[in-house]
Amino acid sequence: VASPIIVSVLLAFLAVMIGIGLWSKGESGNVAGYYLAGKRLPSWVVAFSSNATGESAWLLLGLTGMGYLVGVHAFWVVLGEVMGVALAWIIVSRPMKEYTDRFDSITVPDFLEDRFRDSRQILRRLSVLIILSMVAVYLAAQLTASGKAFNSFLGLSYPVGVLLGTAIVLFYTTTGGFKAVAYTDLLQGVLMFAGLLILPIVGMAAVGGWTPMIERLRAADPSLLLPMGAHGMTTTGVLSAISFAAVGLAFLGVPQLMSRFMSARSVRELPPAGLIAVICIIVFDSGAVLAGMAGRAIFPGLADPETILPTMASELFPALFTGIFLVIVLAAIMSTADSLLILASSAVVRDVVQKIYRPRLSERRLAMYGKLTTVVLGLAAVVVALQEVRLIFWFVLFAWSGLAGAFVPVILCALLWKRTTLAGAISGMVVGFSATVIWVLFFKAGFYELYEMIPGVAAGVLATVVVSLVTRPPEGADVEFDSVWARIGSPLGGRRGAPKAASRSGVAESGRSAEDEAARMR
Amino acid sequence: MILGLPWTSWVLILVATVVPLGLAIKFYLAHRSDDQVDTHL
Repeated sequence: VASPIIVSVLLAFLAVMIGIGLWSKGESGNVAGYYLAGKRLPSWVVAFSSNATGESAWLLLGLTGMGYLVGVHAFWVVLGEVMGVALAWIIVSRPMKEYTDRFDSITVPDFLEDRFRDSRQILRRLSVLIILSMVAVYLAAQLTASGKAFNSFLGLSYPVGVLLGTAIVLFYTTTGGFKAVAYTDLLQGVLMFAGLLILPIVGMAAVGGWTPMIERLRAADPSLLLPMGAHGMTTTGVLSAISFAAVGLAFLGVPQLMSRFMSARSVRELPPAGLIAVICIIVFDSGAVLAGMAGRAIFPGLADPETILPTMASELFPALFTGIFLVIVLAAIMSTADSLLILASSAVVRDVVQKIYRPRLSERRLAMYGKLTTVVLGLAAVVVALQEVRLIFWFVLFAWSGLAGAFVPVILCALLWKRTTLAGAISGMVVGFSATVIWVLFFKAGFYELYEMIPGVAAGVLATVVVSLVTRPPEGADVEFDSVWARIGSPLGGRRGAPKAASRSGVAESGRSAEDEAARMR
Repeated sequence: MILGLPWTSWVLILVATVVPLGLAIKFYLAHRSDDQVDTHL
């Protein structure tokens, strides 16, 4: 039976989520407001929102379990994720924001259609299909995790846990739209940050400090302290390390993270946001792995390593903190689920209804359709989740790589290589996504379990480049590309001062003044 | 061994954390002056 303290902490958290939904209500009456919070978010909200969206329950339960199971070898995941996040902010965020402001894009398919002058809307249709199929899998896995979290912390039945988690997320998402999603992400991200900072410290203290922890791990299994783990420098060991690190590739292009860059108040918000996001992800990931290692030293022999976080939360902390850790797990689940709902809803309402079939519908009606679609998609995911799908994290990692295989090659080439063509982008999206699925179905088991993200992204990039080289780039796209990069300057400031001088000509070339831009945003 | 861990483990941990952090700081510093110019526009 759940302690009243744990229930009180949970109720307080859920009340704050609902409060944020009500507070954000004013922003959700039109399409840009509902899906991008009117592009007015400050750096710290964008930073925490992107990290909380990118990291789901997998971080808290899966990565801690990985630290428990393989020790230092799990730092390959940290390397991949932290490097992926850093590179996403450094090379992707600013051109993405600049392009999407110029195009007035609300979604990633909006951007791709304008970048490649895709008048037949092939990229938009493909994107919608891929987003909806992958989000369905990803969202159902998050709701499954919600049911299991309520069940293991509070003893509620699994279906009640799924329904309760879904009801709260649907309420604040439909009431406040992207603004509510981003600000709840901020709070959820702060909670995850605090939890993953405290948990390894308390864990190490419980075992007597760093040296006793290392000694216990060495006594249990010396390979827990080696970077290549039990396999050493064998093919299996190297491919395992590469697979772990590849998890971070997705940060370079999955649509739910691209929309965070687009929602910033201006390009200037992105460098400080990037720094905050990188510090935050270092604490998230290192904290999760170290907590798992400390957990292995204190509680050896757990049947399921992925229960190490709930075990530590209930055994090492008083009831109040156990409640807080339940809230942190729910925060990780909700911050991902709400963003997936908004993404899928935008794919239906903005990308299909408004842009393909009914462009004349009023903004208010479209925003209303957006909310209705959010509810329908949420309920559909509940139906799947109630079947009590096992292997939560298998689904999460598959959906994460499916989205990455389809979008990372195309987004990277669109932003960084002006020679990219429409045919190249279409090929890259189809080949990247197909390669991911085909690898899982036919090759993965026979090839050292190499993570599908690697063949997916590699095949996608190859297809984009090869097809682009034999086809013609869109009319005027090269001038526009140069103008965007002249406006924002090089990523690490190689030409200090030049970006500003170039910015005025860049804006002039695009035919808009700074005042026009500001007025349009309002 | 450094603090009980092989040096290769420390290399992995440092590359996973310090290198990206350094890049993010450089990114932030490189565009800090963009802020100042834009603020005066």
